[in-house]
Amino acid sequence: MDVLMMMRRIIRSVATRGRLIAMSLVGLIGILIGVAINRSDPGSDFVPAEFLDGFGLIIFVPLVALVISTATIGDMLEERNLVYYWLRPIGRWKITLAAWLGAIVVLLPLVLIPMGVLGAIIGTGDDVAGILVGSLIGIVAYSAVFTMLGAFTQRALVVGLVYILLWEGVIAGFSRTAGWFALRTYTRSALANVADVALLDQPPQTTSIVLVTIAVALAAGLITTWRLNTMDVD
Amino acid sequence: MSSPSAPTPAPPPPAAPGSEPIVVTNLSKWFGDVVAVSDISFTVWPGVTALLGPNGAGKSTALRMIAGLTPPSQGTVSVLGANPRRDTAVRGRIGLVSQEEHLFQEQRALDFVTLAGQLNHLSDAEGAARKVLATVELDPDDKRPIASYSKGMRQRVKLAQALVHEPDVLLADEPLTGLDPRQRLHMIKLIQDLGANGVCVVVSSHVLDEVERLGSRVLVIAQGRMAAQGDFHGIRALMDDRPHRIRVRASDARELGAQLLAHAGVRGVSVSATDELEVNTDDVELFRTRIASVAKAANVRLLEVQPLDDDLESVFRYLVGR
Repeated sequence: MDVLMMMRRIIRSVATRGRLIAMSLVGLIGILIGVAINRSDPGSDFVPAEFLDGFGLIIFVPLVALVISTATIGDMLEERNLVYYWLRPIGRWKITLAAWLGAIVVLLPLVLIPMGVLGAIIGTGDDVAGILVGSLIGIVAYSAVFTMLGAFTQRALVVGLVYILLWEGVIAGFSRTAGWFALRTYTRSALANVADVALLDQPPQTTSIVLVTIAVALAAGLITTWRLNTMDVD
Repeated sequence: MSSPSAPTPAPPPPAAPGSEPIVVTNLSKWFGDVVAVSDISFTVWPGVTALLGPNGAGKSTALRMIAGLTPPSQGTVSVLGANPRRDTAVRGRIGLVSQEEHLFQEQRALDFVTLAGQLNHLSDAEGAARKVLATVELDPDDKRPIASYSKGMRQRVKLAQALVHEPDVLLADEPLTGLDPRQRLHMIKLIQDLGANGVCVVVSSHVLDEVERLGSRVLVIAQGRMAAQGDFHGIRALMDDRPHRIRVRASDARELGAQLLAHAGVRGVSVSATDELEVNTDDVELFRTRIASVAKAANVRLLEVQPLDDDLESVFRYLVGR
C-alpha cells in the first residue's frame, strides 16, 4: 500500500509533458526512419531485426529508460523533497521499489508502443515479438540501474550517457567478457532468440537472460536502498 | 565556556527518569575542514525549546541530526529512546518542518498532507489532513497546486504535514519565516499550544523576539558551540548584563562624556569628535534612564544615541567569548 501511494506520486512527477513529448518524438523519428529505409529499396537486403536492434535496443530503450528512471529519485534529491518519504515510518526499500515500479509503469507504454508499431510496420510477427521481449528486458534492467544512478549523483543523465555510449557502445564490443557486463547484450539476445536472427555471436539463452535481468534489478535495488539508508537528506 | 556560567535551566515538566524525548550527547558534525556543530550536549523535555543562533551557527545541522537526516560525526542523538536515523518506528513519532522550500509542487495541499498521513499509517488520513490544514488556516478544498502557493502558505503546508500524525516530537527549522504578522501570531499560538499539550517542540530561530514570544526554554548556539542554555529570561538577562558600547552624538561631546562618567554608571568614554563620543557601560538600563537628565543638567543637546552592539550577532559573540 505504501509502495503504491508513493509510486502514484512518483509517476505524476516523472511523467512530465516535456519528457513524454520528447521521448515520444524520438520513438516517432525511429519509426519514420525505419519506414523510409524499408520502402526506399524493397529489393535490398534490409533486415528489419537489425534496424530494430540498432535503433530500438541500442539507442531508444536505454535512452528513454535513462531519462525517466534517473528522474524518479534524482528529481527528489534535486528538489530536496525526498525527506517527505524518507522521514516516514516505512522501510527505505519501499521508496526504492516505488521509484523502480514508477519508472517501469511510465516506460512500458513509452517504449513498447513505438517499438511494437515499428516492428509491425517493417518486420514480421517474430520481429514484433522479439523487439517487445527485448524492450521489456531492457525496461526492467535499465530502469533498476538508472534509478540507482539517480540516487547517487545529480549528474545521473551524463553518467548514464557515458555508460550507454562508452561502456555499452565501445568497451563491451571489444571482448566477449566485457559484453557480459553490458545490459544490451541481454536485450539484443532476447530479440535474436525470439526472432531467430543472428545479431551477435553465441547469445545467452533465454533462461540466462531472465536470470541476469532479475539479478541486475535485485542488485540495483539493494544498492539503491543502501544508498537511501546511508545518505544525507536535505 | 557555557555551562558553568550559563543561567539555570528552567525546571522541566515532570517526567520519569530516562523518559526525556531528546537527549543529545557530545554531538559534533563536520564537513571536511568545516566544523558545523562542535561538541554540544543538551536534553529537551516536553514543551517548547528554541534553538537560537545567528545564521550559519549550526542550528539547522543540529536539527537535521536530531531528525536523523544526517549522521553525527561524533556523539549521539536519542529521540524517544531510539536512534532516529535507524529506527523506523520512531520516525512515525517525529514531525519535521524543514527549511527547504520544495514540497511535492504538482500536488494539492490536501493530497500532499493526506499522503503524509497515509505513509504514517493513519486510518483516516484524508480526515486528519483536512483537520490539520484547517488548523493552520488553509482551505483543504483549495484546488490549486502547491507550486502556486505563497511562501507563507507553503510554510503552513509544511507544518500541516508535520502535524498530521500528531507526533510526540516536532522539529521546526525557522517555521515563522515568510509568514505575515497575523499568521506569525497564529503559528506562535499553535506552537505554544502544542508545547502545553505535552508535545516536545524544538524550534530554531535567529530572531530573539520570536523566541521571546514563544516563551520557551532557549538553547543558544553560536559558531557551532553551545553558548548558553536556560529559560528565556535568564538568557535575556545574561545578554543585558554584558558590557554595552553606545555611540552618542551631542552638541558638546567632551562635557557630556565627563558628566556621564560621574553620574550614569559609565565605565569608559572615548571622544571621537567634537560632537561624538563612544560610551562603555555595564548597566545599560541605568544609562538609558539617566542620559537625558545628565545632558540637560550639563546644558548639552543630545543629537543621537546609537547602540553599537545590540544586534544578535554581537550578543552571540559575547556569549561565546565569555
